[in-house]
Amino acid sequence: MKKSNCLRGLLAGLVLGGCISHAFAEDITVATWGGTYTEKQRKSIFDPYTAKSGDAVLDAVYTGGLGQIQAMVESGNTTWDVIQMGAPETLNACAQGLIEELDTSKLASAADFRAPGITKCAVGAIGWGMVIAYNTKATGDQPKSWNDFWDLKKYPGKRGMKREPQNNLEAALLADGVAATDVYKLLATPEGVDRAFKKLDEIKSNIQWWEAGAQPPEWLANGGVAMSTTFVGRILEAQAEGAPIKFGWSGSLYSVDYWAIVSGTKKKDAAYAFLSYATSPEAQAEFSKIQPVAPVNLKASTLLSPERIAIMPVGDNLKQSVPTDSGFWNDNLEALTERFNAWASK
Amino acid sequence: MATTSISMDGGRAGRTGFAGFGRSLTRHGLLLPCLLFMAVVFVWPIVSLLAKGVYSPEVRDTLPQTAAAVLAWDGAGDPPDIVYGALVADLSVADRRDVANVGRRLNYEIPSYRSLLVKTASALRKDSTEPPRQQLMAIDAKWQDRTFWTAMRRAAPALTPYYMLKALDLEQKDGGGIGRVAPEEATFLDVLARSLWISAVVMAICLVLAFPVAFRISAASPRWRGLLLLLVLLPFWTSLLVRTSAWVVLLQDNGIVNSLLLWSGIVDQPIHLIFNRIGVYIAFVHVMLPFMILPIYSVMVGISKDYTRAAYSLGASGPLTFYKVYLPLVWPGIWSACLLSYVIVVGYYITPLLIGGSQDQMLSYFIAFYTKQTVNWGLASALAILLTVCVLVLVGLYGLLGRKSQIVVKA
Repeated sequence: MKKSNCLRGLLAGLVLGGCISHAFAEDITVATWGGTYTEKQRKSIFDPYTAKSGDAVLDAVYTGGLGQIQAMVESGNTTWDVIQMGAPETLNACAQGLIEELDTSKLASAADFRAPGITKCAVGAIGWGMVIAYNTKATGDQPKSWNDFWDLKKYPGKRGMKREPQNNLEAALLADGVAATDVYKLLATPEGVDRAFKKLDEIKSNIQWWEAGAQPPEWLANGGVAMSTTFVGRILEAQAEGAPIKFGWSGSLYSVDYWAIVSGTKKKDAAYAFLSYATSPEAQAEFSKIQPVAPVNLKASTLLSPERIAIMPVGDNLKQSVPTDSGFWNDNLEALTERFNAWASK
Repeated sequence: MATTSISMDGGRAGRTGFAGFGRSLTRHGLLLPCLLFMAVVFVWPIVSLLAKGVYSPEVRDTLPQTAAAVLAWDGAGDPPDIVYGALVADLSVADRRDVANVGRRLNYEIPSYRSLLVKTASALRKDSTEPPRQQLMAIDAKWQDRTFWTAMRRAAPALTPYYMLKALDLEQKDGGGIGRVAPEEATFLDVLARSLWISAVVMAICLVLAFPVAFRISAASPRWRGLLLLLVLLPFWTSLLVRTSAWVVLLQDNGIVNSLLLWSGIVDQPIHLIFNRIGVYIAFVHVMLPFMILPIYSVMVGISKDYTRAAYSLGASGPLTFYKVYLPLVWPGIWSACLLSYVIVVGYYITPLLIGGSQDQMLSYFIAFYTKQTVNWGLASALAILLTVCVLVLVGLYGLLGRKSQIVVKA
């Protein structure tokens, strides 16, 4: 869900570069996570929007962080109009003026969102969970908890984790018996951070770090890792190909990705028109029908079937998951990333 | 070679007068387009990027009064009222994006500084009649904490040692003076040592493997020589990314290498060859072999057999001939090959990234990480400076030692 592979990104960039120079006035460029994720967005949101409004939607690949968008805004050459980004990044980008403050009067469906589904600069696109997935051949057919994730005796084998502090520090504290409601209170203290890293030390030599979302399902399928943190969508795709992988919602870490308008875009009205459509109950439901992410628009889930809802972070699934705190990460990402890098490279 | 011939020309110009000078000017002029090109697209961007490692004017430019006031304060005890007044005055006229930039810089000093600053900037009332100190306290009690002000003081000068110190695992302490960062935060000296060590090991393995190959190719008949060289060059021409990804396929736990080992009964459990140091060495040696073979070969192929024959005819044994005659002749090739492979490996990014675990990442990984992910360009530049200086020192050392050892072997 998060990262597309580099080559594909590069290719898309090249193709796009060609397209943009021939673009018509009301074409709009949407930066999003790339790969099959973007293909599904095109099918369920971009193409229907073009059919309805006549405005073409071009896509660009956004790979996380603020490097690209900052360079773009600072050089005054904004080629992206709308962007989908993670929660801490939207807070940070909003504070830095890299994305526009939302004018809710121009956003048709604004009333269907409740904070934190809508913020000063961004409106919710999807709700997603970082779940534990496991190879059923290596670990049996039972859903796994963070305790199991840490239990190398009961479930021998490598563990896949994303090479970043986010979610992993929370998981470590949860595995150490900390209540979900206390995780961020504890992580805000040096003792809590020490405790999380100490817990991570227990499995450090068995962790295989992933960077791109495509890696965990591949490693899980070929048995390279026994369990891994991962995005749900990738696992469902692997399951459809017959891979012996399952996942559970217990302890999953829930986050929201947002739509935002890039500062300095020359097509602000077109951007609002696109966002009004992309955040409508229908568009969010259509996307959730083909990608297992939760709609953030409160009216959208009534448009989805119970079978579909069973594989999304909504309802009972959401109750089992732990919401991540984007404000915490906005403050502490740099410091904890440094600590994490120091720890991981030793 | 090029530089010596130019300086000789220059000397002659001095003797032969104006016509000669004009000639040499024309010759130098021929270099001009290339030099200009290099200056514009290579030297200037690199220098301006590296400058970010020491030049960080955010606080001074956006909060000029605060920077001046906080530097005038001695850093001991409570900051004077004038500092509070300056911050309120600066924040009330500052652009939101600039404030966020200052916030990012200050957040490196104390986490949560960014949200404190952004919150304060948007909560300030222009028409407030309260004294600045009370005004700031009312927004957030953190402004009472003097560590936030000493952090501001450290960040106030435009020239900052912060990033360079950080790249060396050092920091400015609160009471002044420089000390090591907490051991759990120290990263980069280890990573630097690791980069140097990995490069040395790769260079050594490559040399041992490449020397016989280069020798064999140089001794082969011309027809065979072409074929053998082609075999060396083929992987050289293949995309690096493709070759590295191929190693991922080969080396993984259920990859081809492990399947063969299991099938042949040599091991009964797959051995971990990837996401660790072994995999990095294997892939690196493969990538670097042509860089080692070709320079050595090019020197070997120019050595006449007469020298070794002469040594034999004078009664020298095989090993003695090799050591006293052949090796000194090949030495320049070996030195340049070693230098080339070492310098290339020490700055490598993609191979450790794809094949290594988190304990095998080298300095370039962190440069890329801070550039792309956390947008800490100051630290990325400081690390780049560190890497550049290391390479320059190494090149200098190689030059020095190379000349010396050549003389020793010849003697």
